[in-house]
Amino acid sequence: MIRTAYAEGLKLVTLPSLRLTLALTWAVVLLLRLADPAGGVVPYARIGTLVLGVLAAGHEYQAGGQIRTSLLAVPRRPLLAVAKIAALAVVAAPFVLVTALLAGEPGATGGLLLDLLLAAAVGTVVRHPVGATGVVLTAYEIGVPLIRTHLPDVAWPTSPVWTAAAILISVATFCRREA
Amino acid sequence: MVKSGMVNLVQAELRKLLWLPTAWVGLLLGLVAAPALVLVSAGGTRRAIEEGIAGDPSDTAFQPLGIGLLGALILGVVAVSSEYTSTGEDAPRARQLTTTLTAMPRRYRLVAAKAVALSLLVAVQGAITAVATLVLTEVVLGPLVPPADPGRAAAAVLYWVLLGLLSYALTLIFRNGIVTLTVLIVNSSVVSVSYLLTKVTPLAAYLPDIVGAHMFLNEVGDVDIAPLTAGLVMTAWVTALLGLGAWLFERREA
Repeated sequence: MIRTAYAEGLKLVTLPSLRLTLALTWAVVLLLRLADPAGGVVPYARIGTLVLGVLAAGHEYQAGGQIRTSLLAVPRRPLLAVAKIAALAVVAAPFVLVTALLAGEPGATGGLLLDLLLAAAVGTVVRHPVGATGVVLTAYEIGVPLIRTHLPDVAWPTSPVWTAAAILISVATFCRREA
Repeated sequence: MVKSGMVNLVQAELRKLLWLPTAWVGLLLGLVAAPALVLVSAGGTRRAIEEGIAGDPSDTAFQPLGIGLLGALILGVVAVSSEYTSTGEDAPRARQLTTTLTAMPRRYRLVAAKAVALSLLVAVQGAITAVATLVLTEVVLGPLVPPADPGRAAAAVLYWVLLGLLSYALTLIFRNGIVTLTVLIVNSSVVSVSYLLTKVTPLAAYLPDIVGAHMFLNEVGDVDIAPLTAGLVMTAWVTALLGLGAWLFERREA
């Protein structure tokens, strides 16, 4: 388990697209702090975090089908699924903390990390990084604000509940579906 | 001969586009989102108009059209990104683009044919959605909103087409759908970076993705831009970016 998670973490820290996304997110967050938006910079930092989650989960399904090699090395799917999530959470936590610090709201770290894991779960289910980015960003930036404005009285579950549900669904699909 | 060649090319590109499952997501999302928003928000809009906090009532019918734009964005992205997707997992370097360029080696004409095919598709989608949304608003809100001006509806459809072409041009430049989708979805949402920049400098109101809304809405942000100026500025942006994208596509290794 530890070795599998370590291997997954190694894949994540050596992926150029993740570094690029992170660098762009930090640059945008720093630049936007100059503009001083009304709702704080965290909503903008969230966008980068979501893309990061999607890419982290989706990179194995891009051209080349690296996921098959991973499954060859670790055929037990529940183990691989849990290792992937654990590795992502551990690797992403410090970077998300830095993002939150740059945004000037260290308290937002937990929320951002949950958003990242949710995006990763969607990426695992959709298996197509471009499609998953579209789904996650549309849901977060357009769907949720719309629903909030039009149905303000409904008590929606909090973000840990959503993330847990999304992770459960993603693990179930990952274990059941043909790779 | 030349003419029929171009027609064939546009037909081929249309057929390819309509064969993509993702393109259908874009088409259906564009068609359904705006009318659905009219129905969902009917109660809130009526209250806002009756209390007099809705702003310009003639904008009410056109505002939902902003969300259907997502469909045009997706179509613009997949028109390019589908060519770069690997055709099979066992042959990661084999992409549809290789076949396309073998059939059509003149790249500028290929870019033009794709742009025409995309514009036709988005124009039809935009026209249907605009009519459906305006009729539905008339039915739901009735006398509360003034009858829609056909000129503004046409401007809204033009805005859709230009935005589809903008996302097509950006994807040609970046060769990556994720960048385009992120930039354009975020900018059409509540945390729009372009809109934020208009608070820093009024010049940001002339950025390509927000200037176009002035073509069919009277109240966008704090800056007033005449519809014709807005249309010209957006067309200039799209032409420039499409030119850059086509030039890069011509120069770069596929």
